[in-house]
Amino acid sequence: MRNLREYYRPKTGEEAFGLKQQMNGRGAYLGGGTDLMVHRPQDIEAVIDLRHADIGQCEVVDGAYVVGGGVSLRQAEEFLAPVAGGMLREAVRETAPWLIRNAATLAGNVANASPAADSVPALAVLDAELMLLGTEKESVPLLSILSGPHRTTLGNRLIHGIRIPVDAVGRRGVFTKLSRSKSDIAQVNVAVAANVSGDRLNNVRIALGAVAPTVIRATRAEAIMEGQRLDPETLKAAVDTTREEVRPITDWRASADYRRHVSGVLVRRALERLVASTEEAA
Amino acid sequence: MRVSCTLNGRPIEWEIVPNETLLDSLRSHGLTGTKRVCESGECGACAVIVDGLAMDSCLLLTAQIDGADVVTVEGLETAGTLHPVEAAFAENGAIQCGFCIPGMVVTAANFLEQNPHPSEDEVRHVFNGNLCRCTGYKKPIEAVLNAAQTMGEQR
Amino acid sequence: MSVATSVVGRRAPKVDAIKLATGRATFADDVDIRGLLHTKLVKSPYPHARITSVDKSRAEALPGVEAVITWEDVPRIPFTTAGQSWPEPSPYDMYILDNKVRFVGDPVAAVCAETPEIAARAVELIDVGYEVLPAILDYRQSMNPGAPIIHDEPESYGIYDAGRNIAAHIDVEIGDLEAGLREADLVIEHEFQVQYQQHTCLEPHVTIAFLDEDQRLVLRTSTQIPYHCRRMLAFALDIPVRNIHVIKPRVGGGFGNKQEVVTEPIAAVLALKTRRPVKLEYTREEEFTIARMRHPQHLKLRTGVRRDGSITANEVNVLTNTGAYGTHSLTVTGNTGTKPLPLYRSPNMRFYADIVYANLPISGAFRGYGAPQGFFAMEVHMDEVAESLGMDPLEFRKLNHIRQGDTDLMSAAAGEGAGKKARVMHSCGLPECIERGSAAIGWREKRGKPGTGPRRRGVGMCILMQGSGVAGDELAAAALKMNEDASFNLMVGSADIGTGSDTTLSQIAAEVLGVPLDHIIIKSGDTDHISFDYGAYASSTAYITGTSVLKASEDARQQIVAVAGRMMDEDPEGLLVHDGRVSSLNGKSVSLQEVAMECLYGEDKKLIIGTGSHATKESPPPFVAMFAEVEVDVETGQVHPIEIVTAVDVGRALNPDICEGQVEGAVAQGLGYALTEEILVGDDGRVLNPCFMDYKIFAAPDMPKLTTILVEAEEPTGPFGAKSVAEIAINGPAPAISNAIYDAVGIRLHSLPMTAEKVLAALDAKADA
Repeated sequence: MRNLREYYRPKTGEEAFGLKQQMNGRGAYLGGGTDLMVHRPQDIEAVIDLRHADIGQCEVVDGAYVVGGGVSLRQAEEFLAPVAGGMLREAVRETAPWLIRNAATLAGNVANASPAADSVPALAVLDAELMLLGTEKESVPLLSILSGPHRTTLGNRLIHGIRIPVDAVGRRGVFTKLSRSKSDIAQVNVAVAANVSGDRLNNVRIALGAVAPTVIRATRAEAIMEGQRLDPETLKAAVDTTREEVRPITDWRASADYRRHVSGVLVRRALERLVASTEEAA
Repeated sequence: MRVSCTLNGRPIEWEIVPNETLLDSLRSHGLTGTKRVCESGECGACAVIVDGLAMDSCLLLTAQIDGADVVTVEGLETAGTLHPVEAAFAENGAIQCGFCIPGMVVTAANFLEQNPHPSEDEVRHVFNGNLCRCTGYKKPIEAVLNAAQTMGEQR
Repeated sequence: MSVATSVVGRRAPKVDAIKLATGRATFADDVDIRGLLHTKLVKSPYPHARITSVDKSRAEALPGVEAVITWEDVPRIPFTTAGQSWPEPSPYDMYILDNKVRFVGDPVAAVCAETPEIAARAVELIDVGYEVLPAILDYRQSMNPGAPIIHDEPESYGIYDAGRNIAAHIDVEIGDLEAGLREADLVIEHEFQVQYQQHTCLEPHVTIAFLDEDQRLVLRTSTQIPYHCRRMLAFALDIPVRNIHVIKPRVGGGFGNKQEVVTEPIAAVLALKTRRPVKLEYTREEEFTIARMRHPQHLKLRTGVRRDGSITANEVNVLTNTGAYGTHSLTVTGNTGTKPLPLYRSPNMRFYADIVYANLPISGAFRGYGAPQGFFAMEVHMDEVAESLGMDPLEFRKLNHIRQGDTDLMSAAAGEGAGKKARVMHSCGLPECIERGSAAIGWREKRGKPGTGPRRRGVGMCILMQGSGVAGDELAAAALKMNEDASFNLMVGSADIGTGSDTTLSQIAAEVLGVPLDHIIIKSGDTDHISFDYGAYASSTAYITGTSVLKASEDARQQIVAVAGRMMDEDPEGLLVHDGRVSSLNGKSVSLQEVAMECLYGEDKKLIIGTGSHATKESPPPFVAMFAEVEVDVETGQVHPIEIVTAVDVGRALNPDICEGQVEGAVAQGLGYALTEEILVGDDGRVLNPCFMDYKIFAAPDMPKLTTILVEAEEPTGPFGAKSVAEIAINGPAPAISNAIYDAVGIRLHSLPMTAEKVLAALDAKADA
C-alpha cells in the first residue's frame, strides 16, 4: 500500500471511530490485517489498528455470547464451542487456516463481506447481531449490513461486538461447505439451525453463501420447514424452494447451474444431519 | 517511525516506514530465514510468532509489532541446540528444497506449545496454511508427531 | 544380487538438512549486496502486438532510476531459453527484449532503480505504443489458413513451419500401423484433453547479476542448469564463456520451471550496463503468468487388439500448445509418445505430433516432461481397451507390458533419442511393482465393489515408465581431493534443487572411499568449480552424475591403495578400503588419515585427487505401478482420493528417505494435475487465476494416504544399480484416478482436471443414456 503513511493505535472503540470519521475515506480499520493486507487498496493513507482498543473481550452476558470486535478467529472458535452444538466453531475453523486464524478477527471477516465467507451463514442462522459503534451505539441484524460482494452499509461505523442472542445459543446447527479443495473459498456453503422438539423443527434457519451477491437466508424454504417434521415431501419442497431462492453466478470456480444444484444437496444433507444429531444426542 | 520490540529474546529498535511489512523488515535486517513466496497469506512460508501466536509476517505491518514479542525461525534453536521440531524435520527426511520449512517449523513449534499431544489429523489441518510443493506433506507431518513425542519425553 | 553397502542404501539424513531446518541456508536472495539495484518489468497488456514506440524519458529522469532498457538496448540475437544440450533442439525464437509481444505479460522493457518502489513508479512512466494484432487464443486454430503468424520475424530459426505457426513436428512409425490395424479384431479410439499446470515453486525465479573484481559477469541465480545457463548467456549476450560465472545457491524448487534462463538475461544486461549489482525477482503473479507452464495438449489414441488381448497397432496423435515461444517444444511432446508407447508391446506403432504457437502463456519443461500428458491418455485408453475385450485391466497390462530384455524401438525413432541407439531394458521390475502394489491397495478385494448410497468407492491403476537422463545427451564430471583428516572435498556440477542429490552423491563417494558421510564436503552447481553437468532435469543426477562421482571416487581410491600399498609393503590389488582404514587380507592396515598425511607431507608427496567424467547412451527407465482408491460423491460430483499406492522400480534405492520423498511430492503434484489445478486464460488472453487462492495446489488436508513401495530391479549400468525416481510418479495419479472413478461410478473422464462439475455432468449424461 504505497500511499499508507499513518498508523494509529487507539485505546478505545470511540477513539477508533473518531479517527475513522476524521479521515474521510482515507483511513481503514485494521483488525488482523488478513484481508486488508491481501487486497492492499491503493487509496488508503492511514490504518487504525483495533487490536489494542478495548473491544477484545469475549463474554457471556445473560446467556448471550458476545465476541468483541478485536477478538481473533482462534479465540472466537474456542469461546463459541458451546454454541449450537459446536456448529459455529466448525464454521469459524473452515474460514481460514490456523496461521490466519491466529491473526484475523471475526468482526473483520464479517466486515470483509465476501459472499463466500464461511462464518457469515453460520452466524446468520443463529440470528447474530452486530453491535455497532458510530456516533451512537446500535445493534443490527448481521445480514442487514451486507449490500453486495465486499460492500457493506457500515460506513465509518465500527463493529465492536458480535452477539449471539440467548434463544439461539441452544439451537442445533450444521455447517457444510463444498469447495474445489480443502483450502479453497466455498463454491457453496450452507448453515442450518433449528430447535428440535420431539420430531418437529422450530425456529428453522437456512443460510447459504456463494450463491448470491451476499450471504442470504432461504426464507421461503425456512417457512416450508417451520414447525414440520423432516419427512420426504416437506424436505423435497424445501430443497426445491432453496434452489429457486438462490441467485448464483457462473465464474471459473463453478457454474450457476452447478451451484444451484449443489445448494439443494447441501441443504438436504444439513437438515438430515441436524435431525440425526438430535437423535444421537437423545 | 520507530518500533521497538523483543526479537528472538533481545530488545531491538528499528526505524521503519508505516507501509513496511514485517516480512520486509525482517529480511532487510538480515533475518532471511523467513521467506517471501506469495505475499498474500496463502502459503505460510513467512510465518513468525507474535506474542505467542504464529502468523504470516507478509500480512503484518511492522508498525503492528511495536511492543510485541517476536520469534522467527532463527530464534527457535537455543545456543546451538536445535529445537526438537527442527531436529525431527532434519532426521525424518521431511526437507527437500527447504523453502517452506522455516514457515512449517515455526508453525509446528508454536502449535505444539499449545497442543502437546496432537492427532495426525490435527497436525494435517494446522498445516492447511503451509504450502509445500516438494514433499506431499507426509514426512513433515510425521516429523511433527515425532517432535511431539520427543518434547513429551523431555518434560 | 545387490552389493552390500554401508552408506549407500541407508536412510541417511540429508547433508543440508540442518541448515535448511534452521533457516540458515542461503537461497539466492538471502544475501546482502551493497548497492543492489531492483528491477521491474514493463509488460504487454495485449496478447499480440507490435511495439511501435517506447518513450522512456520520464522514467529515466526519475531520481533513483539507473537504467531503462528496451529491445533497442539488447543484442538482437535469437536464442532459446530452454536449458538443453547444445545445439538446443528448440526453436531459436526468443530475444532478450523484442519489438513484438506475443502473449499478455510479454516483457517490453525493464527498469532498474535504487528501490523496488522507485522501479515500480518508473514502470508507470514508460509510454509504449502498440499496434495491436489479431491474436490466436485457441491453439486448435493456430494452423488454420489465414491465422495470424506469431513468429513472422526473419531472424528466428529452427521453427518447423513459422507460416503455419508450427514450432515443431513429429512423425515416426515403427512397422506399419495401417497393416497392424487391419490385423486387429477390434480398433478402439479415444480423445483426451489436458490443461496448463504451473509449477508453483515456492521460491520464485530470482537472479542477482553483478561484475566481480575481475569484471567477469557473475550470476547468483535460482537455476537447475548452471552450465547451460553460462553457455546460453554467452551466446545471447555475445560475450565469451570465460567471462561468465554462474553460481547456483540453494534453490527453492524447480520442477522444470528453472530449466530455462528466465530472469538471467535481463538481469545480466542491466548489470553490464550499470556496472552495478542488479536483482530481478519475479513476483508471485509473474510466476503464474510469465514464467513457464506444462504444455496443454489434445491427444488422440488409436489401438488395434486381437481377441486374445495382444496389441497389433498403437498410435498416439498429439496437438500441443507451446504458447508464445517454442522453448522445449519438440522434446516435451517427444516424451508424450516415446514414454507411453513402448510400455506396451506392439509390432506397429505410430506417433504423430504438431506443436503449435498461440498467443498464450509459454509452455516449457515441467516434471514428467510430456509424459504426464501421454500417460493420462494412454493409461485411461488402455483401461478402456481392456474393457472392450472383457479383460481385467490389471491382467491386460500384465499380458502386454514391456519386459526385461526387450528393446524400446520408439526411443531411437523420436524425441531426444532420435537417431541414437534404441534402449534395451537391462532391468525391469514392473512385474514386482504390479504384484506388490495391487496387494497393498487391496485390488482384488476392492475392485468392482462401489457400494450403495451417495458415496461410492473405486480402485484404479496405471503403469508407467520414464528414463534416467537423456540417452546419449548427458555429460557429468566430478572431482575430489583428500584432506589431512581423510575428509574429501567433492565438486559436482549438478544442481540439488531439493532432490537431495548432494546427499546421494556424497553417499556414493563415502561408500567407495570407506568414510562416514560427514567426511564428504560437497559443493555443487558453480561453473568455476572443477566439474561439469548438464543440470537437474530428465531424472539424470543420480544415474549420470552419480556415475561420474563413482568414477572420481574410484580414481581416488586407486591412488589411495597405491600409497597404502607402499606404506605397508603390500600389493595394492589386494587392499580393501573400508571404515576409515586400508587393510590387507593378512591383517595389516593403515588409517586413511595416515595415508593422507603421508601423501601431503611424507616422502613421496602427491595430492590424492580423483576425477571422473561420465556420458552414456543408456537411459534405463524406472517403472511404476500406481494404484488409487477414490470415493465419488454422486450427488455433488466430488472426487476424494483415499489412498495412492506407488510401487516404483528405482533400480537401487541409494537413500530410501529421499526416494520416498521424491515419490510423495510427485504424487502430490500429480493429484493437483488430476483434480484441481488449471491455469485459466480469459478472452483477452489474460491469466484469470494468478495466485494461490485461485489456483489450487494440494494442501496438507487434501492429501490421501500415501504408500510407497521401493522395488530394486538392479540396473547394471547404474551406480550401485540405481536408475532414477525424480519424475516418474507425477505421471500416475491422473490416469489411476480416472480409472478408479470408472470403477466407482461407471464414467470415463478424458479431460483434466477432473472437477466435480465434469463428474456430475458425466453422471447426468450416463443417467440420460
